[in-house]
Amino acid sequence: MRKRLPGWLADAALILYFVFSLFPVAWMAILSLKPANQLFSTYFSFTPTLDAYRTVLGGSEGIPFVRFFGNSLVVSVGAVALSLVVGLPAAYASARWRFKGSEHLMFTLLSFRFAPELTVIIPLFVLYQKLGLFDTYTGMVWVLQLVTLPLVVWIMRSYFADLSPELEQAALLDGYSRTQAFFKVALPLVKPGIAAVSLLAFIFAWNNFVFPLILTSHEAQTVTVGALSFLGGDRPKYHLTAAAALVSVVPPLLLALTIQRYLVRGLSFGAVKS
Amino acid sequence: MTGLELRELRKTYRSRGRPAVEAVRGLDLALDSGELLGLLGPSGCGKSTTLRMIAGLEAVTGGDILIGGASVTGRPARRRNIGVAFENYALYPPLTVAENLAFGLKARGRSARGEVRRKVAGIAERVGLTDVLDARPAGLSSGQKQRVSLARALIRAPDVLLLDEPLSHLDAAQRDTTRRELKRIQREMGHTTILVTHDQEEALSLADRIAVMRDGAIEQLGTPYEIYDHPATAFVADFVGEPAINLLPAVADADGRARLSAGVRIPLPVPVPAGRPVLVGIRPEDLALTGADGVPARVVAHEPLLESGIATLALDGVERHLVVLTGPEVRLAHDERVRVAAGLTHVFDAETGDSLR
Amino acid sequence: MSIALRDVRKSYGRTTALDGLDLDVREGEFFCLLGPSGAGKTTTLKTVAGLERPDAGTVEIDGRDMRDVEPYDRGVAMCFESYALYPHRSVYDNLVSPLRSPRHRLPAAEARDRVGAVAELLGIGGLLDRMPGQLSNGQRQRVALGRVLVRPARAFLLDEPLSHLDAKLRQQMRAELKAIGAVRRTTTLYVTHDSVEALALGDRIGVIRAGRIVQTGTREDIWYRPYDTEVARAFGRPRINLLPGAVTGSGTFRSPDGALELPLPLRVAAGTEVLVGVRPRDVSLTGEGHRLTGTVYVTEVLGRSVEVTVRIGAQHLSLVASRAEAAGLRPDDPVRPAVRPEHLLVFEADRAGVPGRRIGTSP
Repeated sequence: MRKRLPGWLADAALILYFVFSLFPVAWMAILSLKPANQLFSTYFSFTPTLDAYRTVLGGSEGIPFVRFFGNSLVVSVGAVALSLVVGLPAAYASARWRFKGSEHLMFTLLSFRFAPELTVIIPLFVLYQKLGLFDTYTGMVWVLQLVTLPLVVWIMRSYFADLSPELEQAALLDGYSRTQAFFKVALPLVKPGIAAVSLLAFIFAWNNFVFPLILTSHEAQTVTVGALSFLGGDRPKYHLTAAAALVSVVPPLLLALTIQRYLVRGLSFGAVKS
Repeated sequence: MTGLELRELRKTYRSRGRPAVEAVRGLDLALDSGELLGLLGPSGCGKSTTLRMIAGLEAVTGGDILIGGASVTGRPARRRNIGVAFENYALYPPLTVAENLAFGLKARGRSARGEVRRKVAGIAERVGLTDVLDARPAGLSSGQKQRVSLARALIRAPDVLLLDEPLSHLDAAQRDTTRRELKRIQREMGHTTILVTHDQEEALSLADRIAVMRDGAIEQLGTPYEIYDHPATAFVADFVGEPAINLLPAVADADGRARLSAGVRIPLPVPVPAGRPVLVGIRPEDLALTGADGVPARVVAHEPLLESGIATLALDGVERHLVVLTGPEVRLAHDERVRVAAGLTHVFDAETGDSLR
Repeated sequence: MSIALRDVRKSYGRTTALDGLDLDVREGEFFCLLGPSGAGKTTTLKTVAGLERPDAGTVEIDGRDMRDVEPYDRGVAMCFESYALYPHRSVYDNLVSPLRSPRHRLPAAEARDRVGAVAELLGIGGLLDRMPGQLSNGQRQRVALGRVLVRPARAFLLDEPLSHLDAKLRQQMRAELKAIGAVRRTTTLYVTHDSVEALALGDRIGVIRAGRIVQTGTREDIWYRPYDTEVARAFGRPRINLLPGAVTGSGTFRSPDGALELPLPLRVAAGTEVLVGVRPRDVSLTGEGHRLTGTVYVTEVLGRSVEVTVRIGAQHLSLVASRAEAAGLRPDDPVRPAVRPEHLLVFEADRAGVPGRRIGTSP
């Protein structure tokens, strides 16, 4: 028998860790509920108010935060959807068939993830200006493929590789075409993987900062950049930034909670060969 | 050499929050000196637990283990003088075969170096390992590994030898030769031996007596012939024999026959009260295709295996098919009509499975 | 339909799976491909099905080259050793899958009847609502077989369909498989490593080894005229005795220590190193034949009969005796087993890695 910690000690340790890890979040929440005059006080004074939220969501500072929020949703969902449409067949093909140069191709795709975004941002900016993609949804969805596509292809590839090819072979002999075998057999079996990778890709797309910072100005700007605009002007309005940041956490959080069931299964399913 | 006795041996596993599991429930068994007893049963019947308790690898919940008349129940494994050959060989990979064999002797630290060398050479000669004494386990065939495992168990002249599924990892060819060697060596050296196995063929061919275990208790104890010819329960009948015995549900008739269906009746070997539900057991080799008399049947399939054949027959109104061993020359076609007659027949209570003989 | 493979080669990286394989399966026959694991059995099946593309050679079905024909257009149904059941669909949906495909589509009601009939035949009628994950291996194997039988096929390709069943169920399913009308009428290529299955089921048997067919023939061809010692060893329980020795000047066989001498059924050049094969059931303690002198090594109960291993000089000869014949035999008792020369098979001696070929007229 292994010796285990006594129950109360384990509980105490957990509480300590809980407090430690949630402290920054709590600080943010408190900050967002403070009135403007208590922001810079050196002793702790706190009169909760929803003023900051009203200001941020009402757009009264001249910053259309609700629109940024909508932009983020459109751009992130669009980026994930495009990555799935393009990436799932790519992942499947790369898991099932080896051809000359296929490994190089996969590596090149992955290398998009190690290259710092800053190295490509200036040429992209010039290109986008010339192509008329600057500050458009299309442009953002496209550029975010650098972030989401490698993720989708690499993660989904391992899911497909773990599926026995004999399942699709059985479908071929049942009388289905290769395309039908993919849609009817392979795809339903990697649903947990699709859920996991969609969430991850969504979070990465949602949180991306550099691309919207340089490649959008007003029309297609997203929350990450938008939240910071409250810091501009004569004095930084930290409570507004905090409120905006907290509001912008909501969609990924909701998404994670709704697909949690798949996620737990999904994250282990792909890794462990049954 | 000395005998081995188990008295009321019990093992119960208790774990918090779960009902206690009785793995072995009151086993009584006595082995004569030099006897090879087969402990036969399906997985989970308690045979391996029993072996581990005898070896001292598992604590005893209740009862007593005696070797040569003296209780060893309280003694740790290393003070019982029992040799064990394990299913997975349990050899030390970095040591050569000779070192593996010497290891057990040195661990006891009572043999002089020359003595060890002499004993290793002696046992290696006996089990046919002389040529591979300097090899390491990884380089050996599975049959050789099992012989090293056996030699290591034998080298310290144990009072009792325990064999835990010794042939299960060998391929067919090695299994045949190793099985014969094992039997011959056991006969020559005369160790009191328990062989644990789930393979009825192995138990029949090796053992002097067989104890068939089920759910932690002995279902039947007897010589291979007794077990094969007079199974005490339907379970034993079903577990021993290949192809398996036919067990057909029936009802006893007033005229001393069993009614398998409206039209099919078979004479019973013993009187059974009319109306009693029974299981009629007939081994495939005790059924014969006859010309005139016998029960009419339809051939479902016939498999000519050249040394013999296996016919699967359907009887009128009987759900289960009848498996019959045929001669090597017989060829039967699908749907052919034949007649079949039974020789030695067994009858079991349909509820308890006990033989009604 | 008939299936023909001509000089088919296939390798995966450095491992050669098929090394010039030739195979002819005739219209309507049940052909068993027997070989150890890794011999290329599954690759052969998948090549016929069109799931693997041969590196060289041709696959013909009914005389037509299948080079560019997709699996779903070959008209074959295959049962995979891994079952390949769709884990996300119920047993019913697995079984009905071929009947919903564009090529074999049936109206829903007809499909339901068809599935019901096949499920009944295989004794899985009560499992239709279960998911594959809830089934035992034996049940899965029967569902996999059902998916093959449910639809019209011109040939069945079955990959070890009984290998995961316990002995009793395997025996039962073997008989049932033989009795199924569709199987009796349809060309079937059946892959197994179990020689009993091959003998029981095959109209003809092909023995495959290292990606090549070693011998093709009826069960009698293979039993009485095995191509080499390894084919001889593969069939029969207890296994065939193979006794090493050489041919003497007078044309008899003699073991190296001279303790065992036998007349041979055919003429072999003096001095040839040979292995003489005789099946244990062809040696008897009481019958007619050439008598040998030896001692009992061990006796083993086989049920109603007894296997007696006799030591003759340095060699062991095993034989099957009745209980009466073996009664009272103890180790080291002298015995005189009899062998009939017409039961002897003569092989060239095995060389490193190459089993000795049978000497005599080829089948």
